[in-house]
Amino acid sequence: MNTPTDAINPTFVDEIGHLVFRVGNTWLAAPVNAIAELTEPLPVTRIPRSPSHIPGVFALRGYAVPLLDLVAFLDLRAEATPNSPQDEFAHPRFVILEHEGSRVGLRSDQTRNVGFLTGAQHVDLGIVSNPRLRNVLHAALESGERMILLLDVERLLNEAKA
Amino acid sequence: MTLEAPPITQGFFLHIGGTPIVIDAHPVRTVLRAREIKAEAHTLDLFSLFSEEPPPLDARRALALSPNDSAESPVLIVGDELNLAPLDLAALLPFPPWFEDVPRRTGIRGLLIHEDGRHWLLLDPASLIHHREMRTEQ
Repeated sequence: MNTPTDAINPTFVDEIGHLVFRVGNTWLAAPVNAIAELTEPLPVTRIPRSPSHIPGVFALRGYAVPLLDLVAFLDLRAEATPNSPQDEFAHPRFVILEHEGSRVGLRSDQTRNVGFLTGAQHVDLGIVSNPRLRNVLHAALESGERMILLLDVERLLNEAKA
Repeated sequence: MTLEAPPITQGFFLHIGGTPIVIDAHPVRTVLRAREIKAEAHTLDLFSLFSEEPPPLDARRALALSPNDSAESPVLIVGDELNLAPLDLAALLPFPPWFEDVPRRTGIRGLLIHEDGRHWLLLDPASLIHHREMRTEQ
């Protein structure tokens, strides 16, 4: 039988696995079936007349892949808090998303191993005060002391399209 | 049996402000110097189009393209550093569907990686001018 607490904060059941990564101070997660690969940051060539959240395009395995800057697009805080313990683990990478035949790169400041988030507690999305960010989320989870925001990849890429 | 060498394609490699551009030299009829450039309806200033800082007037050059069926010879205003070099179109990386609007908006068809590893954006002036004419007519 569910307790009242369970009803408010149901446990998340992760059936496909997620990649958890950090952009600025925000921990995000994307389902593994939307992730093509992770790469070291690559040289980016700017495309004229592109919106500010698309800094350019890079070459990856025979494809020209657009880079999406989530800090600019979602109004995220760009830097980790000074002297934060997060800093020592920072390792920038490009997270390559794949959706409907298109690959798009995200610049992340830190990535964790792919894993299952089962056991994390659902949190009401209303806790996310940034409306642009909330608009591209499936769910918000509390895992340990960390808030992890699950991206709706389809919506994110449709909204951010050049 | 006679072996025929493949035709060598040449390209103009140049910078429009901070944007590295390559243009297939095939349709380029001549390169104009600053005093030969006239601002006419069929003149397209790439600095303005790409929102880049233009070079001083006397440093400007322009590429006059071959006439086509629909318009007078179009002219592209470019910068002063024109480098004509072999262009390997087979190395072009086209944009993905997510970027489908970019060629129409900018005339840029894809990313080209040169032998020296430098990245260039392939500009197709014909499609750019075609779409501008379409917009003007609407």
